[in-house]
Amino acid sequence: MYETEGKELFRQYGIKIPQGYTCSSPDQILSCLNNLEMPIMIKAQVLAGGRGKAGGVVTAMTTDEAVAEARKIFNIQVKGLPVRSVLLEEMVREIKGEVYIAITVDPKRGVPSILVSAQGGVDIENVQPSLIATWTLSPFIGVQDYAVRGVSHFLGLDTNLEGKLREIIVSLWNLYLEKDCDLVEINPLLITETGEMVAADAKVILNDDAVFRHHEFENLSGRDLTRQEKTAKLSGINLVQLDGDVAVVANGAGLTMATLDLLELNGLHGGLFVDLGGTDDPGQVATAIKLAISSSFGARPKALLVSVFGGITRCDTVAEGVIKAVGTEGSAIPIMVRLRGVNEDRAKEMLNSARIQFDRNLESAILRLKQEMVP
Amino acid sequence: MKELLLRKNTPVIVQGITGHQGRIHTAAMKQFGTNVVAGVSPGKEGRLTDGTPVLETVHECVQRFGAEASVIFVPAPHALDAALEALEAGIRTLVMVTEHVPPLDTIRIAQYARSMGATLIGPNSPGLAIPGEVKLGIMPNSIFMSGPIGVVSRSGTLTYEVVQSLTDAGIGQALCIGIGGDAVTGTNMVEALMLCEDRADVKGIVLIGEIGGAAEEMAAEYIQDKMTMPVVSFVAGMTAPAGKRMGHAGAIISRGTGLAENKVKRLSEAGVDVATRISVIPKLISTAIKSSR
Repeated sequence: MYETEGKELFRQYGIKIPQGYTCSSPDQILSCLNNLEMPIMIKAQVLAGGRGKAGGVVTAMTTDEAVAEARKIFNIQVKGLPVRSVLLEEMVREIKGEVYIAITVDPKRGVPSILVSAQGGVDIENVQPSLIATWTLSPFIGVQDYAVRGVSHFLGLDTNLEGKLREIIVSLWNLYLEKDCDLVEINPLLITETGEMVAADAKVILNDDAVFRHHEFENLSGRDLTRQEKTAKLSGINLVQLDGDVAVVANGAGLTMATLDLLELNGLHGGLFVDLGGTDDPGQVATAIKLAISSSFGARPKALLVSVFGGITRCDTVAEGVIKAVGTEGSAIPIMVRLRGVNEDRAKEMLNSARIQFDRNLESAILRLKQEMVP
Repeated sequence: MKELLLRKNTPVIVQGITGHQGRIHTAAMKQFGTNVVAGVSPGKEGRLTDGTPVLETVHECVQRFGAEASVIFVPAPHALDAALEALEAGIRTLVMVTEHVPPLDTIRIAQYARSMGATLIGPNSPGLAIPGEVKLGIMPNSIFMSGPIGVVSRSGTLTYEVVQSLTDAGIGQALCIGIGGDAVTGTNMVEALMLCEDRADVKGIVLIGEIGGAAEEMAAEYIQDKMTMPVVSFVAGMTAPAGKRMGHAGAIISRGTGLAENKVKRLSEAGVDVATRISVIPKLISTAIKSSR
């Protein structure tokens, strides 16, 4: 989610944000500036951290400067990403301090936690762990006073700011919980001389699996996907583009990763990885194979390795899907189908009669495939 | 402290039994020897073709059949409801096969399970199996044989691959637990190791990890500090790039954490033999057990 979208959610949840406007094209710059007081910040909207260092965030003292800088930002790439919209935002004045506040799941404890640091405004990955404090938050218990006191004390805030801090933490927590976020982060949260707290940046990461109950986010999910990725998503297939040239179609994330590792150990490099998931539909298997090898989806692998352990997804289903996808005319690239498990013998017969290479052992399948690949 | 309240004849129910996967795996579990007494599928009361009763609520299953464990196949949008219903009705062993459960729902279920003294395995779990006795979940029946190995894994098919390689080498298993591939799981890797240690018939453990999170690092700490039983490990994703979610919700290298390299390093420091390829696992574990005697 872009910063401006995160900020809109902040606003809805009562977290103060700087006065600002988002331009989706350069000709909107002037009209946006009419309603803003100088100086302003000009922020490229891209889905990447470290925008400041990459030249995506600049300040402007005058309107002329703002117009020129904003136009410039529309024409650059930030961290390799095109800039499709730019946020123009008033600078917050009389800043007394900047802090970091986020809520996310603590992977060790398996519960949501609030993370805070007095080192606001810098990349949290570069902050020493001893300068970050955490309090767990239970969905059944929510934000209690001790957590607010603890955060305030750790940050060394004035006690009369505790009320404001509580509002921020409760708002952030409600947003995190109600919208099913993986992460809500304010970095930095600005504290002004007058005791205002303003979110200068917003990072909100929604959880993909919870989209079913958030129709308001439906159009956000998958908007940055390629045609290949979209087709995969619609078919319930997991697809990850890697750098190598051997396409891998496997079932289950662990086995897929283990297959890619084994390719590498044998001097081959996994290109695209397609995780079938659990299926008993040969059509689904055929779609996966086509996604992996068909140039109409932009795939140009030098070889295809199918690596399946048959359980829910039976070996004969996979064999049928492979035959369906490759067809009777054969394939331009070497294909090796490695199947083990439920209905393995039947799958072997089917593949043999279709003249498609089969092996039941993963290591020898990879070695055989390597031999068939033209260097 | 978790305890696996599972015997050969524990009365088991299947929630979501009338769905496609529910039906298939109910039959497979029965074939394995699991005492599936009933299923739940709201609005579809009746019987499966094999005679298994399908009831409206988990409460009825507990009252009429003394159900103690449940396997959940209910789709993600209804998984929270199904799991809480089971826990409230008194189910004390819960296996969630359902994938794509929103993490906040998993956290609610896991916390409620803990407060009830119940054991939750999953979600996104292939289940657990005690060969020769009972299986809850979707692991293929054909891969197992009884023996002295405990298997703990975050994966599904990779677990089958490893178990099959053990069985092929004539090394049987006493307990296999697939904790699930999500970032948050009801039973974590350390707790799964403890469940294996609890069993007198487990003589050695195969731990199958993957990139993402800190489960393997925590397991390494536990193995180093508390365990005497030999552990052999395999970590998938050595070549996985940072920032890409590799199929499992929990399998992502982010902010410099979750690297397979680091997991292997920590496990090795803890005295675990880490296999670089699956095919050497049977040899490593049998050697480890022999030398620990």
